[in-house]
Amino acid sequence: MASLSLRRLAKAFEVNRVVDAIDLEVADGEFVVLVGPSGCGKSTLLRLIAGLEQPDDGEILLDGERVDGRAPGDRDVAMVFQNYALYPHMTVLANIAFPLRMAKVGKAEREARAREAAQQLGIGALLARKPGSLSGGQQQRVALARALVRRPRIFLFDEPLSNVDAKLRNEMRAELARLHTRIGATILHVTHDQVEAMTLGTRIVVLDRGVVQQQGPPLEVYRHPANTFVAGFLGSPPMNLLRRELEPLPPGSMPEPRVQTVGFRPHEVVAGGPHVLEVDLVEPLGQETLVHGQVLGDELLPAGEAVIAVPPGSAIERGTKWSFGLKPDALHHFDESGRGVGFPVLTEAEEASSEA
Amino acid sequence: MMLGLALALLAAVAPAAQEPGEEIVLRVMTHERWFAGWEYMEAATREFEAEHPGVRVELISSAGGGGSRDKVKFALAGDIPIDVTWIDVTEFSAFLDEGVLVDLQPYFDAAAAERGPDGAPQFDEADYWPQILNGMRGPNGHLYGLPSTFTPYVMYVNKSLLAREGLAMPSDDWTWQQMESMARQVTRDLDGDGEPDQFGLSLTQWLQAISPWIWQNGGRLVDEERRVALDEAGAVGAIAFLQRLLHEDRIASDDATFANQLSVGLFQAGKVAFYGPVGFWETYRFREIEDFEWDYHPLPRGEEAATAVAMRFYCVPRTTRHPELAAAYVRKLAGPTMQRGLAEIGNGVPGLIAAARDTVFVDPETPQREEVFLEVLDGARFLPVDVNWAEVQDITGAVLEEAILLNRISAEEAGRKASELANASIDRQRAVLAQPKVPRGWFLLLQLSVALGFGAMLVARVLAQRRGRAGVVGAANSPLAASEERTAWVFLTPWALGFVLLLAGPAAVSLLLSLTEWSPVQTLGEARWMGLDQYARLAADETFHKSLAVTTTYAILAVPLQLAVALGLALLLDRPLRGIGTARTLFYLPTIVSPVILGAMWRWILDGDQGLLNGGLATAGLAGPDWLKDPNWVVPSFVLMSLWTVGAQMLVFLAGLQGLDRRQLEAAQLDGAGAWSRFRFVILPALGPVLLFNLITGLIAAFQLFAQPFVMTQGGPGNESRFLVLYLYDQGFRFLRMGYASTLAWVLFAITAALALVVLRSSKRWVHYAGGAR
Repeated sequence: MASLSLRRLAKAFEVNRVVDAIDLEVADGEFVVLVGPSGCGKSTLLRLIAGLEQPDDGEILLDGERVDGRAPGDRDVAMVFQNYALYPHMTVLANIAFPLRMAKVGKAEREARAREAAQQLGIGALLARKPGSLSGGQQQRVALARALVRRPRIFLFDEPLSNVDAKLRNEMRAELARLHTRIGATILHVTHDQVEAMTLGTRIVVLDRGVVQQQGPPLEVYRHPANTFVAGFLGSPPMNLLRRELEPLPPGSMPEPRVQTVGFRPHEVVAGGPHVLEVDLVEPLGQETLVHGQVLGDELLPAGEAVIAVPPGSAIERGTKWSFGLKPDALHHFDESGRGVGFPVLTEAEEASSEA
Repeated sequence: MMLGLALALLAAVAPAAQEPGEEIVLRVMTHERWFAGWEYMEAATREFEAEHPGVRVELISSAGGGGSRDKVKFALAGDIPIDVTWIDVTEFSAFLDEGVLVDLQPYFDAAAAERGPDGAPQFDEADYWPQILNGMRGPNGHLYGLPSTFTPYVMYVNKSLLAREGLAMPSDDWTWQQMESMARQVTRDLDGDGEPDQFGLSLTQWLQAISPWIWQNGGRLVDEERRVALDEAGAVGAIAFLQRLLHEDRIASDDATFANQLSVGLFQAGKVAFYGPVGFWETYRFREIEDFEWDYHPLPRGEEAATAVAMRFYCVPRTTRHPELAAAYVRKLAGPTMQRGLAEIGNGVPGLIAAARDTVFVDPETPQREEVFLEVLDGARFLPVDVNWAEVQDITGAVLEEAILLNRISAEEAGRKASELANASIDRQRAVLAQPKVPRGWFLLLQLSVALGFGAMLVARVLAQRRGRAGVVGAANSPLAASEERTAWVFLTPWALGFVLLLAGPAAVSLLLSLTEWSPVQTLGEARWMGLDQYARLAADETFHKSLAVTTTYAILAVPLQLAVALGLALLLDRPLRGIGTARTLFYLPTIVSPVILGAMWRWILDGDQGLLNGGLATAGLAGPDWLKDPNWVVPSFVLMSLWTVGAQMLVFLAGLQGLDRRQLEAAQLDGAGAWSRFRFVILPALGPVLLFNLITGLIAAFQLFAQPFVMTQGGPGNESRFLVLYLYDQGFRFLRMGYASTLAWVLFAITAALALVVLRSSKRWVHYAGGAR
């Protein structure tokens, strides 16, 4: 296993800067999840590390050793693709053993190692089958085994769970987490699924428009989003972001950061309080109920659309006005450029209501 | 609706009944456009139309090249109403025996009895060369046609070359020995490369050109029983004589093959003293020679003087509905207007004596002695003609080529082999005529049962479907289902009709035909029952064996090479580069060019002397073989040529490549696979299905190769490029043996079907279908 460093890594397709001077460190044995919306550059970043794309600028280092000039096969990097990319005409055994065959490992040894990898993933009984006859989950495991068998320095997972159904995804997620603990591999995992991001990684890296927006332990990032993008991207339903219009600064005055957007999460709400929501839609989901409506602006909260999660069975009706309060530390403030502004400071009124 | 369609079809096809007083149209198949005689043809036609009010003559050009004879046969076989056509004298007997031609003697006799306005008879046989008229008389002595032009075979002499070498012109009754000694003195190695490049002789080598030597040597082509007698001493001696001149003494060049007639030969290049035996037709292009003086000269004599005569004449096929008018038109074509015109353009010797003696033909203005052609007429002979002469000529021609051109077998062997093979063919033909005729009703019955069988199958299918649907609640008689079914029938009917009438029916008939022998210029009622003899015959048919070997060799070489080249090109063109679309189009383009045009183009590229390929090799200091004439190179030449048209296969491969999962390639790349391993383990297996498709279609195409050899080599040298379909064509349309041709077609079908089956079976082991479980 190895550590990975990216230094000012950049890649543009024509004028579109997909990866924009990214710096990233991944420690040996770390499980880092790269998360972001489609087109944020996360897959390109992975392909750059794998060597399937050539960077325009910057360096890629594995264990402090530059690899960006090397062919993909010489980087000792394993990748699992979204569609698994199994070789359809080879048996499962041949698929798993293929990297070893390319590395000129003897037949007996490579088969033994392939069987071992298959055992680890619970597909030991499928070795004689061809990929076409396997289920999605089984193919997924074959792809993993094929990556595993090489004992690479780093694993790259390119949305490996996005093609399997919800139930299987949960299973595979757990499987990946267990795999990581068992072999202590360095893993870089790309996903657009925030549940995967929150649960899998020891660290998550949120990407948007080719730039790292924020990185850190998942809960840390969830609790303290560095900007409105991160705030709006993580969490389901996402954080409510209420924006107020600011008076233009008087000419000649000193520019200073001013809070423009105020955010709070749908779950950080209690019934009864100083704020009022004009309810226009109620969605009972079973384990909770989502209430959609317009926040009537007040001193603390600008007016705007918001979603609030309340316990099931709450008697809230469409068309009514519902008053609510916020849990302590619930408020997030962002300046005019969307950047988070310090730690939220509760006003006295807010303190009073939360105590109540 | 179907009934309406059928009626409309019938109305369109059925000839309109002739109303009284309506114009009569005579349809004339002519080769004169090819030989520049069109102008005179039209002039004679206008005269004829003026003399016969209410008659219009429609001239149809058959062109004049090798395939034009077949065009006449196609017209006759297809029952296209032709009133007058030209034929080659060598095919006369075959046509006569098949009952194709109308006996014109009664019409000529009637015309002879009639007096014209000048008091002279309308027709007089004495106006024509008697030796020539004999060429178109039937066994009863009756005339079946009148000559267009003819030509005896003579020698063309380069007078300037002889003078330069200090030799006098030989006398008209010169001998073989004199010819040989003069040729020896002329033959020289001018550029000192050890190979002679100036020759005494340039010898023509097709059967008509070889026969004068045989006759002069006291030999004969056929004996009293009209069986080939090339194994007799006279013939063998003549063959040995020619072999010696060409290969031992090397005082004769072999550049004058029939296939070479259109290119500039050594004679035109001034490198040959005597060129022949050859007819008057060469005059047309030799008139352009400016560098030296040349003349005609009689052939040298052996034990006796003899020469051959080539001729085309006009006759009347049985398809005519106006035999009397057609006979009159034939007389017009043999009359002074046309004959003088043909003499003027130098098309050959006019059959009309007056026109031939006229200064238009024997022209004192030219430096040549045209009289030679008239003087040699006493010793002039036609080739013996028998029912299947076309085949006999082909068989003997191929064997003689093997001996004289390729020097592969001795003269004795050639004589024996040619006689054996040709006589087997003659015997077979005689045996065919002894067989019972197949009742014509059989063919009708067969077609009817195919149509009925197919109809019954359709109906059974529909009924089964209805029964199946009856189980589904509410579906059985819903108006939607009924309307959908009607629509289905509307779309199905044209295909079903076409399938039965144009495919299944004819295929069934050809299967029956393969058990018979039948000439396509006759009606089906003339077919003779042969049974499985036709198939048994394949075992002893050496040409078939040769043809099978040639075709198989070609397939073994061409198919894998085509696949490799097509795949290579597809890999090269599977890149997202600028202008790649244009590049792909360019590589595909040759595929849509007509194979005939491709053939003509490649004949020029592969020409041994003036070809582009050998020209290119020569600049690189390499001597290329004579591609199309060297027996070892002719099949490889076709293989090479076939690579020119791999565009379609390339396109299929390209489509396969574009359907490839790029992620698999990337995965392999990450797994450490280099370019070759990626190709071997990812690309090639993924292309399995398209490879299989290209392999099977390629095999079928290889076994069906026809147009290119037909245009380029006509099967030569010998039978070295006699591909199966070419042989099939020869049998069906040149030798008029549609029965045996059908046998060959079914054997070809069986071979390709078996090969395809073997490939398909084996493919289970090497073709993987994406998404398939295997």
